[in-house]
Amino acid sequence: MMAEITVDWIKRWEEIYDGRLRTMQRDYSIDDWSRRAEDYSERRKTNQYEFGENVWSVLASHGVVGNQSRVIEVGSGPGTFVIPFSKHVDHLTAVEPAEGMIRVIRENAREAGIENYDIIPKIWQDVSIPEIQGTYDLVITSTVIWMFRDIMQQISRMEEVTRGHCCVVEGIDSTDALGKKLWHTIMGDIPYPSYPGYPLAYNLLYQSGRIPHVQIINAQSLRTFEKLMTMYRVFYSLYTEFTPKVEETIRSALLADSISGLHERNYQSAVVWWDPKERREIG
Amino acid sequence: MQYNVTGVHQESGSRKTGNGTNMTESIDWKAAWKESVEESGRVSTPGYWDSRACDYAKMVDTSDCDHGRRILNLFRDQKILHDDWDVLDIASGPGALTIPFAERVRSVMAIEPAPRMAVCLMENARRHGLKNIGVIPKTWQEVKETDYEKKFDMVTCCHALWQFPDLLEQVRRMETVSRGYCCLAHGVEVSERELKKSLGVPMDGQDQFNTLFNFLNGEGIYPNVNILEYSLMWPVEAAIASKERFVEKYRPLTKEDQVIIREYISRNTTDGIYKIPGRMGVLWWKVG
Repeated sequence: MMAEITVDWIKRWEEIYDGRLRTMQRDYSIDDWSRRAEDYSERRKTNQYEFGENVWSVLASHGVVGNQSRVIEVGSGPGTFVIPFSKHVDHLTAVEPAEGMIRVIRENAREAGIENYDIIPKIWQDVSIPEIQGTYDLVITSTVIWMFRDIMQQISRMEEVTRGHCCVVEGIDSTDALGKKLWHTIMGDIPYPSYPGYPLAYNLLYQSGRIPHVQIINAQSLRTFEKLMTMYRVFYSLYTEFTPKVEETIRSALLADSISGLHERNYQSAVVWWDPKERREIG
Repeated sequence: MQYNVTGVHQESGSRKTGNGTNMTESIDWKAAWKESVEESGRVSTPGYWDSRACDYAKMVDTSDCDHGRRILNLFRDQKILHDDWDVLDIASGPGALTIPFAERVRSVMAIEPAPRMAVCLMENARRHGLKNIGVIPKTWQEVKETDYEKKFDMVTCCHALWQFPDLLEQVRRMETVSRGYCCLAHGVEVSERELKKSLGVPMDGQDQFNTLFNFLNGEGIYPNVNILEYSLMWPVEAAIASKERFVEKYRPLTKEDQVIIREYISRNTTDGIYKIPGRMGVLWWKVG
C-alpha cells in the first residue's frame, strides 16, 4: 500500500503562530517596528542592498519581473525591495504602516535617487483590495507573513492584486548560534520561539494547488553594535522584563562576537514565487 | 499508513516552540519516502525496464527528448551550463537527458543497468552523431562512488528515484561524485488518472514529490525547485505496449484491459501521436 502523507499545513502554521504568542508577554506593535527602523535598515543595506539585489536577479532571470513591471511590496520595512527594485522597474508601491519605517524608506530612497515609488501607510490586512485589484505584475514580501495567522486568506488577497506573480522570501534556519546561546542564557529552559517560514510556506502553497518555484540565495548582514543592541532590546522586551542584567548579558555576548566593531552574519533565504493562475491537479 | 499532524510522528499539539522556522522536522520523511517507493521499486525491476526499452525509446525519440531538453534549458537560462561539463546521468534509459546534454557538453556518462535500454541509448547516440557518451551497465547502487570522486560537474537522476528506498544515502553518493551540481527530477502529478482508475492499477507517484522535497530539506539539503511542464509523445503502438507492460507489473493482462487501453489511447491520439502533458519538479543544488 502506498504511503499517504496527510499533513494539515495550515493547522501547523496556526499552531506555530499561537505557540509564539503564548511564549510572549505581548505581541509586536507597530511602534516596535518604528523602533526597529534604523537597525533593520542597516541590515537590508548591507553590501549595497545585496539581499534585495539577489532576489531581483533570481526573479529577473526567470522572467518574473522586468523594467516595465509594477511591483507592490507587502511590509516594506525600511525599503527591503523598494530601493533595490525601483531602479529596475516602472513603479513600486510599498505597504508599510510604521511611521519610523516610512521615514527610513524616504531617506533611503532619497539617498539612492529613487522617485518612482509610493507608500500605502497601512497594515496589509487594512488595504482595500478592490481598489488595486490586478494592477500589479508582482506582489512580493519578505519576513512578514509570519504575522498572518489567516495565512491563506492573506495569500489569496496578494494573488488578487497581481496580474503576474507572487513572491515570498523567507529565511532558512535563520537563528544564528549566538542568538540561540543568548536566548538560553536569558530565558533558561524556555525553548526558542518559532516563526513560521520556509519550507512550511512552500508546503502550504503546494498543498493548496499552487505551483511554487524556489531559488536559494546567500546574503550577508553587517551590523554595528548599537543597532544590534536595539534589535535585541526590542526583541527581548516582548518576551521578558528587559533588566540591566539582561542588557549586560547581551552587551558582553556581542562584544565577544565583534570583528573590527562590526557583527557579520551570513544567511540563506528561499525565494519562492508562483503564478496564481497556474494550478496543479490535487487528489 | 498516514502521517498525520495528530499522529505519533508529530510532537504534542500544545507545543509552543520549535527549532527555527522549519516545523517539518517532527515528521519521519525518511520512513514516508521509503514506504512510498517500496512498491514501485519492487515491481519496476531492470527486467521490467528491459521489456519496456523498445516502446520507451520510441517515446523519447518521438518527443525529441522533451523533458531532458527542458532541464537542460533551465540550466542554460540560469547560466550555469558550460560546454566543458562532464555529466553523470543516473538511470539514463534511452537518453532523454543524456542525448540533449551530450549535444552541449564535453561528455556524459550514463548509468543504465537494463541491457536493451543501453543498446537503445547507443543507437540513439549514433543517430545524433554523438561520440561523447559512455555507459556504465550497472545500477547506481552497484557503482563504487570513490572511483569517481568529484569527476562530474552535474549529476542527474530523472524519473528514477523510485529505485532508492535509501534515498539519502544515494543522494550523498551523488554528492561525492559531483564537483558542481546535483539534480533530481520527479513527477508532481499522476498522469493518466482516468486510465489507471479504469484499470484498477496504483496511482504511482502520488505525493512523492512533496515527500522528496521535505525529506531533503529536513536533512539540511535546501534545493532550488523548478516545476517544469513537458510532453511525452508516443507512437500509438508504443503507447499501447507501454500500458500493457505497466499493467503486467501488477497482474496478468486481460482482454478487457486491452480494450480499455486501446479505447483510451485512441480517444487521446491526434495524427497518430498519443500525447501526455505532465509536470516535473526539478530539485537542484550546488554541492558544498
